[in-house]
Amino acid sequence: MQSSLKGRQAIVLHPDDNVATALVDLAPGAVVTVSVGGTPATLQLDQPVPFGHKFALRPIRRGEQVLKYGTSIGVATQAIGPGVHVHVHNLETGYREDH
Amino acid sequence: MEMLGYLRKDGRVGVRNHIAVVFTVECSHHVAAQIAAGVSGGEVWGFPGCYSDPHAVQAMVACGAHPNVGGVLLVSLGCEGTDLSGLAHAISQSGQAVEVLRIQEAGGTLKTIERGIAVARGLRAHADQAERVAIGPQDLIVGVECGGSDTTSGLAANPATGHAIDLLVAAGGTAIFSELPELLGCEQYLSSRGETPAVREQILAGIRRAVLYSRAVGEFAVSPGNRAGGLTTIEEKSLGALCKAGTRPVKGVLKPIQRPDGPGLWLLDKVGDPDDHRLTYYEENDNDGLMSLIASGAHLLLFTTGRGSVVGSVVSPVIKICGNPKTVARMGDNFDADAGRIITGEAEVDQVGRDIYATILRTAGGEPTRAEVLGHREFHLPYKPARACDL
Repeated sequence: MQSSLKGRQAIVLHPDDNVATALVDLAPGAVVTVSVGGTPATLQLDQPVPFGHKFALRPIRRGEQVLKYGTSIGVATQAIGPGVHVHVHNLETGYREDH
Repeated sequence: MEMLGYLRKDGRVGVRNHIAVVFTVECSHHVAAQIAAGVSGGEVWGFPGCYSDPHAVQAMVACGAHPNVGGVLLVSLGCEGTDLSGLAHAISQSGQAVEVLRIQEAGGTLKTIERGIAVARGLRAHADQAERVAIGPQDLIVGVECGGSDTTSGLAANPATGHAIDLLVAAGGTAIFSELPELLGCEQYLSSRGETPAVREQILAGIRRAVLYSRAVGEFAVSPGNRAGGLTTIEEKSLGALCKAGTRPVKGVLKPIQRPDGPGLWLLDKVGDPDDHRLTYYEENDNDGLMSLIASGAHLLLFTTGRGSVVGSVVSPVIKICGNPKTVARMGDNFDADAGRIITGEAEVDQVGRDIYATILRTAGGEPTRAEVLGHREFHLPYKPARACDL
């Protein structure tokens, strides 16, 4: 599915990020181009990624920090390939209330 | 463009020249509102409680002495608990012109309104004599707040607003952010931005209280709605809220009513102690939050939304920034800045940030915000028996 709105399909909020956020509902097979700190990057999705959801920009190892806003939003619970949907099934909080 | 502010006797400058008609108990609210309607630039606000509350009194003093206010008329019923003379005296310490009317003494509703309008018009004439001085971003204190958030908030309106705050701080201005209970999970990152070890420890202490508070009220979670919208973890949700404060170092932590004592980015910590049984509410609504930023000296407020909030405020103008293009299409009259263009691809975050910064300067120069044009003058000043300032 292509965006009908000037073609922006996803946004990367910080150049250090390893995930992008979909700005439209993206279908499996969609070829998505995002701007990473001004540099275009193109990926193909193999799963649906709904509006507001994330997908990986590059390979993320199990145990690696997932970065959005240039800051950790949690830890990958499995290896995540580029273009793969990143959500509760492969990302968990790194936050402990008690520290 | 030259911006002119109002020079006040305490040396501060204002960007508005309101006459505040302040009710000191709900019983005098109607009379105060009628008086405010009878004077140009008149605004009504106040505290409804009959039993005096230290926080409410401090907030009334801070808002009455605020540099956006050119004169204050206190309207009392006459038998409420708040110490009227003490309140008038405290506001006047800043050099502010303060007048007092008691409805029971003045002869009831009609006579008090008639006299009140005459007194308020006298304050107006006095306020109109205020010296106009050239001001710039270095003279401004800007507060940030959000309300009616949605999936777009952390992607568009908040990042763009954060960029505007970074521009303001780079230009020597001052910004205040708060809402600590919405920042759980990013305390390591936030505290690392504290300018000194003492500030870093104050940030962590505030977050620890926010955790206890959130546990007590059961708000410590990424909701099913958040999850459906794509938010996975608490730190992701919190970073989306935090980014509206930009990326600059945190200069210091303010307690309620405290004002920043220099330029830069400041955190306002309003979280009370949840172990104290008197703590019932942290913040009752968005206008409660706006009033606390104003009481800490904010001249202007940046308010981000996605679902679409309509509120304004008394004392300080509210600039509305919406990041959801569907909401902008539906109710665009309510917004000053369209961050929905980030979602549609029509603009980048930094471009919208520059637009918001330009809107800050135009608003400081006197241009009315959408909320001002539409007559939004909401305010909320509740009882706050247990607060961070007591700890």
